[in-house]
Amino acid sequence: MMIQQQVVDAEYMLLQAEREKTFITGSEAVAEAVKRANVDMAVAYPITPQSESMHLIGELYAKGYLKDYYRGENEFAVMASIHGASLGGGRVFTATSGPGTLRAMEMFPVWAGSRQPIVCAFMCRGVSLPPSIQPENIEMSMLLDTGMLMFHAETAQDFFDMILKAYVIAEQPEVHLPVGVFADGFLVTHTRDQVKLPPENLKLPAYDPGCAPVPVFDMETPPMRITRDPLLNKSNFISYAANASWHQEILAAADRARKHIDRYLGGLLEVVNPNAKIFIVASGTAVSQSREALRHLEKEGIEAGLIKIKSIRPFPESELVKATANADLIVVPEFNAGGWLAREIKAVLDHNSRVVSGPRVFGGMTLPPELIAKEIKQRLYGGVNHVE
Amino acid sequence: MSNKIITPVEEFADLLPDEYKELINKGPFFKTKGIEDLGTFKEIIDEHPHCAGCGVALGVRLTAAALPSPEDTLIIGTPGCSFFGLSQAALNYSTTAFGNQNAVASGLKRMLTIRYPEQNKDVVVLVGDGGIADIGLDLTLHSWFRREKITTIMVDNEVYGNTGGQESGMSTQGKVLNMAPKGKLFPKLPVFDMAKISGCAYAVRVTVASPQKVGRAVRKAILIAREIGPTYVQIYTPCPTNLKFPPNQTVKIAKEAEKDYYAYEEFITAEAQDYLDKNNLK
Amino acid sequence: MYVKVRVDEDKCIGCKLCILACPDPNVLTYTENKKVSADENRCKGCGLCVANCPKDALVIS
Repeated sequence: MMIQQQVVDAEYMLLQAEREKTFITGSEAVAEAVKRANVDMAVAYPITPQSESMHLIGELYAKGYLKDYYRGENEFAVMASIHGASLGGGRVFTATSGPGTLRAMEMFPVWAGSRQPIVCAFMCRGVSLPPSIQPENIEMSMLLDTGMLMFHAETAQDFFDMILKAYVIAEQPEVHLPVGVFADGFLVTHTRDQVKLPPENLKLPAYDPGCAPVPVFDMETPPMRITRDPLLNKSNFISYAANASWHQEILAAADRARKHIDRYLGGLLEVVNPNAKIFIVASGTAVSQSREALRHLEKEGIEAGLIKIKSIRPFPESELVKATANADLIVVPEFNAGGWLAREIKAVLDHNSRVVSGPRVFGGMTLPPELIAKEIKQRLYGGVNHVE
Repeated sequence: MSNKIITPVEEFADLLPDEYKELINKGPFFKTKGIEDLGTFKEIIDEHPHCAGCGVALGVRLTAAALPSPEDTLIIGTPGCSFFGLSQAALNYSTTAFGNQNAVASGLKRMLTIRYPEQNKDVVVLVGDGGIADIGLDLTLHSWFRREKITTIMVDNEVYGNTGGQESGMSTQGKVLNMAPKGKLFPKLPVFDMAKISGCAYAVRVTVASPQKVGRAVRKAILIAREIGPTYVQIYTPCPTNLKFPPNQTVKIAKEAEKDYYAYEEFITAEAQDYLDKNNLK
Repeated sequence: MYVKVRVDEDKCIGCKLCILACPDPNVLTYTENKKVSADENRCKGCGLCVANCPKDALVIS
């Protein structure tokens, strides 16, 4: 049975309310977030490793926490349905992983272009071929320019908080963009961790479609809203101009999100040991491994710092430049073959020969802290063959 | 929608364009207008860039005139030719990614039911043959399997018109078109027959040569979808530009098809017929 | 030069078949005296109305 919930403002629920310690999986953390998020509707489709989260959300619906929920026929259909539901003016949620993300790809710029504050959880895993269901986040590189905001969760605690905070940030009138909340599959979803939760009898205020910068699609809100192609068929010139100005607005909206990310997420990045000359810069589960690597290095007398990037889009360019101003060496461990995070970092830093793209593991291989530490030691003592 | 939302206040009334004022005063909102009234009221579709003689334009125009409650109707379309007229319509219209119209309509209908449980919000899909029978077939069938309360209307010109005249699943076998240089190798897709067994409560096959039948089909389809389940209307809307006949022959070509493979057919479940009878709806 | 439709009111019997054959909206209207009237500015000259008129009351020129 659903318990009676009290509406409280986001500030109170997310930043002030007393929290209770629980020991839950990442999948359960997703459900706990949606339970408190006052979501109207969710749509689900099975794919490993996000299915468990969506089962739990189905159970929330059965208990009355959501007003509608169903299983769609494929990810493209699910994301299209979410687009339709959001057009109708409600708060929606869905999730996917790896090949599912790629199948749904066309819809992500549609969401951003329609300025819809949709929150979608991505539980990253390998993409075919060859197939792998294991953790890897190459899919994130393919979403960097869809216009969506992107937050990368390190732990189940992050996953819980980022989903709730994503709604608050996305629904600001000046933002109104979809948010992808990413976590590395299995590593976060299928392990138990300590997660501090605000009381379950609290929920966010309902979404107010009057806050949207584009009118809601319900035949109650003038002017009548028409999306996509109409401008195309009046004149190609008008459609170029409209498309271009609309895309500039999407980029500007992402920039306007920065202050809200600072307020609710406590910054787009976090720094450990800010005075270090050597930094590991990472996002997601690679951050946890990097924390262990720091301990390894400390034992050997090597002092290093860690920069955890929480917001991938918008990217914390100025914060990163500032944090690495005096760094001699920047190492970027990642769970993907492409090295997309290192590319992002190199693009914003001066003297980016300081940046080492690696170590990288993919296909589901683990990222041992020793491997990260070794990368640093090799650079310090020189020689590819130097092995401890 | 309430009348207040579209009626301008007296102080600003004369600042609005004549077209808008005509729409408020002589349009179909909040009145019962149908096909039989065409010519006596300001239509909700306005000037559009469809080709002269376009069958799809005629199909879209007849559908728009037949909507039982245009003030509470939302139309979901997809790229093709159909959106030329629809994007000039005085109601909420959205073109979304090609082929996904029935999934978008499913989500929209459910959300509008959550937000306006006491009102009828008619969600109508109005799309061409490519969008429904080819790229969107999966999503269309599944919206029917799930029994979504939406109306799907296909304006069937048997070709991908907007992209330059390529073979579509609904093209007839043997027809030579772009991407089918040796003629289409397989028969016209039986989407209408599939509708009957996929969960539609009401399905009609009709052509633009029978405008009164088109109007009745659209009206009944939308009324039934309010309470009973998904409905489907397949309208033959031939394309002079791509099927290469003079633009004043569109209705004649449709009439010939009516005697052949596009004969009028109406499918209705007992439940849907019962609903119409009990509420005196036609 | 544009091609446009014109109605011969003497021949028009007000059957409205032309109105139901025109692909463009608000072109052909049905007036109070039960005849059809044409808005030249909106006509694309396709000739569907001419082809469907049983009384040859319409002409495109």
